[in-house]
Amino acid sequence: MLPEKLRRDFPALARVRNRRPPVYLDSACMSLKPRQVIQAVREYYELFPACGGRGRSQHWFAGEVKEATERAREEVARFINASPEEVVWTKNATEAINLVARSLRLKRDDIVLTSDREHNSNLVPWLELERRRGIRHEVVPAREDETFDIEKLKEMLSPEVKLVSVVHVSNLDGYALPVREIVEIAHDYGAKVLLDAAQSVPHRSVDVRELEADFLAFSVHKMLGPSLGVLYGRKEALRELSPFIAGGDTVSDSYYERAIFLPPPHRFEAGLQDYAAQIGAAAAVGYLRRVGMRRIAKHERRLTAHLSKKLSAIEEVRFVGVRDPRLRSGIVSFRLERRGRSLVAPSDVAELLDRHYNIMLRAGDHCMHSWFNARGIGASGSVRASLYLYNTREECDLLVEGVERIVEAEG
Amino acid sequence: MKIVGEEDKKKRLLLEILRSLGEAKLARIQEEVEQRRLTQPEKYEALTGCNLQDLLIEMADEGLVERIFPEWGAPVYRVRKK
Repeated sequence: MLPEKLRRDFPALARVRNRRPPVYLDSACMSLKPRQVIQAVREYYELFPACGGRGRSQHWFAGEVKEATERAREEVARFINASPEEVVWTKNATEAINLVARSLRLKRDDIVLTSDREHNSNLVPWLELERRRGIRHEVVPAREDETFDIEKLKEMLSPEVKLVSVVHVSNLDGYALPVREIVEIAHDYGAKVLLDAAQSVPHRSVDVRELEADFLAFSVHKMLGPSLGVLYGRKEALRELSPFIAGGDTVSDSYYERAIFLPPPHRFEAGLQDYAAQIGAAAAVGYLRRVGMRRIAKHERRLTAHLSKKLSAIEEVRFVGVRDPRLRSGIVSFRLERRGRSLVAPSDVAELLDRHYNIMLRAGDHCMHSWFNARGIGASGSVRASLYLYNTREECDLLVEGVERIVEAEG
Repeated sequence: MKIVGEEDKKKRLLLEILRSLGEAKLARIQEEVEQRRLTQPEKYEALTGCNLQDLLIEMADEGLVERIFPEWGAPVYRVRKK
């Protein structure tokens, strides 16, 4: 387990409501922030709150912004073993995926494959391209135990498949798809691969050179940093993308008739950027690196196993997602059912735990409506507890106690 | 209440369901909505993908339904009598 003293770095954990501390189990949505990140963001606003970027202001403060943001790009690149020019800042992972969707030169009847457990961020962009450009979006169905069916992927691959866009670790249950294998097989067919890594980069060591994916999207706000997204693209893959949002800072020169775009990553970063968030991102990855990604992953695996085991002792708990609890990492989704019927609505469970225990978690479809609808549980979804480095066994035990009490109240 | 627009249509449908149930918890209401969506999709289509808890809380704020909290356990909903 990670040391308890680490929790002191997170000011939000020191709050009290109704004489109880907060129990934050919603990190899959937004992580808490350590004071080191808060301080880095604050320094920008207090000391040099100016614009950065190429070809803009050249003064004292602007120079400091330029230096700090260039260093931030280097730090984030190093965190995933990429080169700085392979890192594009975006608003969030959703925007990063949309950047690829809109800028990759996909045409009518080109096929994009996804898994059947995608967040709307990696589903709706392809549905939109289907509607607008006539591409074909196809879904690789999971096996009965809800794991990814690699044989099915092989069957569905063809020269028409131009992109395989899959989630790395699911926000439903923490299940990690066999992405290394997926990349290798997709590349054999000449298809590019985009990984939605929003739930993997914050929680495990991710090396883009090892994965060999063409694109990888993640969100800094899920990994202790401010609201910011990152698109990693292999150098050659990024060069094939046309500009997404065009404007200031994306071009080296312009005339009334034409503009000359800068090389990646700058051609994709139009207008003034969130410099404070970029600087905060560097502080966040620095913090994570100091704790150690392997230690964080191990800590979360232990907590997940503990929570799964204790929850499974409650007869009314029905886990949602992969059947094998060993395949869950950091995320546990469940419903309360009795004799096949919903006992307490997931949103009621979340409200009761928040009200009585200060336990904050998520209830609903977790932006995976398609997955729930396909399984006939679209109206209510599930309760989702998502863990991170600051969570403890005691917090997991408290969640179990709360769930037991809810079940008892139903008689 | 004057009922107009898409949101009000949802509320009207939910009131109808709640009247038929007498009083119910959210899990039961969700189940009933799903059932009606399957058997009468055209009529209950408006409730597709709708966050029923949010809607019910809003209706409680507007005085359309009562949201009763037991000492411990999920809240119960029933149509407020005029």
